[in-house]
Amino acid sequence: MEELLRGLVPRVLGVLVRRYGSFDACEDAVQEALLAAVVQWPQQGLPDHPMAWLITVASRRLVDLRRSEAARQQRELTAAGFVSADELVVPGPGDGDGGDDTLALLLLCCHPALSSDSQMALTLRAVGGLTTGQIASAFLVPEATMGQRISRAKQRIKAAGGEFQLPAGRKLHDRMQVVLHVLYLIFNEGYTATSGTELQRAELTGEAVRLTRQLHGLLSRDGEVAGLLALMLLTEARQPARTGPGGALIPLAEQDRSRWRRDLIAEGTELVTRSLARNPVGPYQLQAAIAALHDEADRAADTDWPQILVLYGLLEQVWPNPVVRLNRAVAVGMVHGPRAGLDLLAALDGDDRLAGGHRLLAVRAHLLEMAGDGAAALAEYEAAARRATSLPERRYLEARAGRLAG
Amino acid sequence: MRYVLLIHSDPESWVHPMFLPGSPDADRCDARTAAFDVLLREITESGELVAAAALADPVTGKTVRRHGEVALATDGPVAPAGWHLAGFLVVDVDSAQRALEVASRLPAGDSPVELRPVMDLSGMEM
Repeated sequence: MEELLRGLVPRVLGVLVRRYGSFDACEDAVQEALLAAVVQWPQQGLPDHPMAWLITVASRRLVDLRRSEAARQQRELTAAGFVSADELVVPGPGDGDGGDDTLALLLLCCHPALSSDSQMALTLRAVGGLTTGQIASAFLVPEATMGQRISRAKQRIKAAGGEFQLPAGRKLHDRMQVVLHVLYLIFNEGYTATSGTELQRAELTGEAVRLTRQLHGLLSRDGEVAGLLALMLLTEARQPARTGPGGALIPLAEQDRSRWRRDLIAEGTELVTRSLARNPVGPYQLQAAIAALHDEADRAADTDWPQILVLYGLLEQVWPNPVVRLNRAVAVGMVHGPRAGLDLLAALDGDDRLAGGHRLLAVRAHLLEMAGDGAAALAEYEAAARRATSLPERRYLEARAGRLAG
Repeated sequence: MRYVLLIHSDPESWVHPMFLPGSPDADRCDARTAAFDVLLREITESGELVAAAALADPVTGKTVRRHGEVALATDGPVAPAGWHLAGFLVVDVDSAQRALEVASRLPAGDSPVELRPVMDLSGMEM
């Protein structure tokens, strides 16, 4: 039932916003209708027209909200529970199949005026149908904090003149980049979790994949949407093998590859292969292609590093940034030897975007270790460990240092 | 990204930097309180504030140390000398720069505000 409900959320919200305007109030009304459904459907049975039921209840709630806003006497809201079949608001011909609505909603929730935390939260609620409480626990913040974040986000959109419609041409393309990035962040937020809160976090990866899949269904010819979906599947495939006891991180080279999810690897590989054959290359497709090469190797030693190096070269051309450069240095090290990788890193020393962080130090430590310079590697691992602000990453770096010291 | 902003206070004369209790300069005190209220409201409404507390004078505190199986409490702070903690805020912000901005706007007078990232329980394998 939850799956059915969540799938209907963007469509119901789309109908409401087009009919009544005011994304802000409509979004609240849909949340209330969802809560009503969760309570009533198990008792009264699934309605014949679930979508119409939700639209009806949400519309009434909207009317009530407006009444109370106008400081009129607040009406009892219990009536929401008794919807007879003949008063259902059936979606009209102008209501479409919901595809464009979902897209327009995603664009609105990922409005560039919002911070990425707010974009993620609002997307999960308004498009994903999660409750504020669920989102708060997934992001490990108090529910009140998350509630503020969501309502502020909606005010911001209003103030920025955000509209519920699809922009055209270049503008659509630019806004889509933000949507893809937000979906990627939601996925990562869930994927990188290592401990206690795993259950809620798995919901985030699941939700990111579900929304990206939906988007891919709407825009099946968009290479980057396909690339992002493939990247998520190919990354998620390694999830069962990426942590050991106590949430310790296991590096790619040491993972038990028999635990990787073959079904996800097959689906992701096929998606990205098909997409690259008929689309201009983009960052997500290239990252997915790299992930596919890692996933296809039965043993770490079988990894096709020369091909990975070629792909990182392309990735750096279309998406130049220091993190890509770091990864390319690792690939260079695997193909041309660690000294060549270290040479490439030297150029990053003055980069502000990496300054103070642990990533550059960690990659250098790794390459130094490969080069057989244990003492220098140890010093870099220790420095990297102190700089890391992620507990599992720090523990991993300390363990590598410990191996060299012992 | 989550940060803790630690507001320290003068070790010589414990005075809460944010509120200057008993300060003869009432106007300055009011101005600080007002500025703090504005900041607090801003980061509450934006959903950035996770927690905040002002701490009581260190003389009211206790320090617990374990000696094997036995925990012993003594009166006062861990270190009798040095700057004391007067209060803290936990914020969840989009960037290190934003955390710095919030820290700079804390009306803590001459008292230093220390900004520390909170360890993330998530991590990416390498």
